[in-house]
Amino acid sequence: MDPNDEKIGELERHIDTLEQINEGLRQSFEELSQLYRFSETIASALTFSRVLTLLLDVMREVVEYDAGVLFLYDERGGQLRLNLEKNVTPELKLRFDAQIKDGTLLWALKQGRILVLADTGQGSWTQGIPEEETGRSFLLVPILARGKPVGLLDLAVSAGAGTFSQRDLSLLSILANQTGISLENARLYEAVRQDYVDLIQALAGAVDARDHYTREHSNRVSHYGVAIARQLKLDESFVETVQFGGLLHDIGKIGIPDLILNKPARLTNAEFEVMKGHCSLGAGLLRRVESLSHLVPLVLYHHERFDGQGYPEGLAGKKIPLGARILNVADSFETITSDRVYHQARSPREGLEEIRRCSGGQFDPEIVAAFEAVYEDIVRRRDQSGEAP
Amino acid sequence: MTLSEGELHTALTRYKDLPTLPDVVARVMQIVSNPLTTAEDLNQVISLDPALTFKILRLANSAFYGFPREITTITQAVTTLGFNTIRNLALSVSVHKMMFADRDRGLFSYRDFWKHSVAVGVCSKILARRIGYKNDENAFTAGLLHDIGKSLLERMDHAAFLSAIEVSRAESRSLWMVEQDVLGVDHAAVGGRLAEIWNLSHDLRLAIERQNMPSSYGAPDPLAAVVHAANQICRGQGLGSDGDFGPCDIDEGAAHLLRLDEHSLPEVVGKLEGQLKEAEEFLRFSRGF
Repeated sequence: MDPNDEKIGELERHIDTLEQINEGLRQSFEELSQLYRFSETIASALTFSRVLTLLLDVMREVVEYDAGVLFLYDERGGQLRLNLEKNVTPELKLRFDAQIKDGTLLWALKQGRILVLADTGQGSWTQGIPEEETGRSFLLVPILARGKPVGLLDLAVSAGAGTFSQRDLSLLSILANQTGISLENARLYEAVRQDYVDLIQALAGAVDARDHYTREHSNRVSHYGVAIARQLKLDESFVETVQFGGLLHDIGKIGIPDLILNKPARLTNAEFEVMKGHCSLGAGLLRRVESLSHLVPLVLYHHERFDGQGYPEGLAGKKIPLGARILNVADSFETITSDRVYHQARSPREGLEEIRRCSGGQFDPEIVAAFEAVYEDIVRRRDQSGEAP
Repeated sequence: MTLSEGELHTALTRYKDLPTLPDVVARVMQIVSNPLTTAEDLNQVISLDPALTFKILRLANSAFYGFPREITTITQAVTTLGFNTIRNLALSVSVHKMMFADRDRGLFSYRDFWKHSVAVGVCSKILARRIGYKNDENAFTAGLLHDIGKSLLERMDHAAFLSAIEVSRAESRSLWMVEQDVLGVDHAAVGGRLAEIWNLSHDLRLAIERQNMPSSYGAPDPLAAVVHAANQICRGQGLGSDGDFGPCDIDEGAAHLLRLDEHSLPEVVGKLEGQLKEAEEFLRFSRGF
């Protein structure tokens, strides 16, 4: 053989090897960037249920599954409970059930490692019947957070159990681990969030407890405000500001003496001046709490009037923050339609008339229009809650 | 004291023709290291050896793994127990056949020796799980194979090895120290060399090499600490016998890393008793299956 041919042959083999390596690298890179994208997507979800829904969606792009079931692990009962399912046929349902019943799923969860289960048709392995493998299999993907079992994803795929490479499986593992971390984060976020809401409820309750005539007042103002804000198509974070602002709008009344707050007669001018102080008192309280400070404008200005005749600063028109204009309408309607020391509750219809009458005066006409649109709804829900006067 | 690379090399030149792994197992080790390998690939290789296949399936279906369904093919064993576990089983089965085959050699009974090895494997797995070590299957295998060096020493120089055991017993000194005096080499160093030749994973090799003094290399390697502690615990409990009559103290650095103290030790020993029963199938190796 010509020595040159030999060299060329060797060179060609080297090139082949290089190309193979290159192809492998390209694939790895693609998989990594795909994985990164999926992890980002999953990590962006703030709630537990959202993470799980996203997981089922994202998994579909990693492995083409025909049906999927997601179980959550109940630590106290030591059991897996169904949480989500996708495309589960009655026939597949039997398979999933059998896997729970004979302990296969719990076993997989305990291993904390992906398992591929060959589907052997109706017969059970335990009966020792040599069944033909159907060519279908189940991917059992445990989801762990900080090493502890959280749940398990069970995917039915139209591929033989032995056809998955180690890389395929480790890709799924990485995604499952990422999901575990995201679930843990979502759980923490939801817990902190719940604490925050509980705290606001507790504060609102503190005011309502002092003034027995305004029991449920803060809650209702909050509900009405939210209805108006939604009608105005404001974004959800602002709707929430209105919700919490409604709950806390009278928080400053904590600092008003009992004699004035619960006086069974009309207030004198001097007393009324003290009463007016609840707006800035409340604002002062909330300003000190970082996570509540965004509610300050709503609390401080909820007694401002559109025509500039309100308090504490006499702001007019759009200079009054939007949230405060909304709460002003909600607060007024609630007060008119409830019993007070100085007046009997009037009917919702009368309340509506009063709000309309003051449109452009006390109230921003745009807010009044939104209020009119949700009025029926507000009244119906108020009646259903059994708190109607 | 540890042997230098040069001393080890000189000592090992006496041991020519170190045993090599059977082709099937060498091939298994090789293809499992390739991430593109599928369970079917592994099945094709292992199925070439019916005896190995039979033993792996016996173990895969044993109480040690406790899988609720019956595993009837190597492919199923791989997809159920994982690539790593099946590779380790293939390795353990053939290493047992090569290095632990049943024969009583005076002071050194291979049956008791294997019993000790299985106990250390089980105990290693327990210790590894306790500290959340990433791969408790490797811990089991590391424990199972930690003393391969002793088999080699016994096979290569039976008389000298037995006299080392005698000295260890007479003076209550650690066997590895006596081995260095008598044979110029110790079982950990020789075992590490075998692990290298056999292409065992890096953590397994370190664990075998550093089993006796895990802290003498700086911060202890976790798997070496696991195997060391498991070895001392099993010796203290009199589980099997390994020819060593030295003290059963656990290295301080290893105990610290493994969070072992007088309170946690009884808990580990309790678990060990239960899990040893589940590992019965591994003991059957030495009864010829």
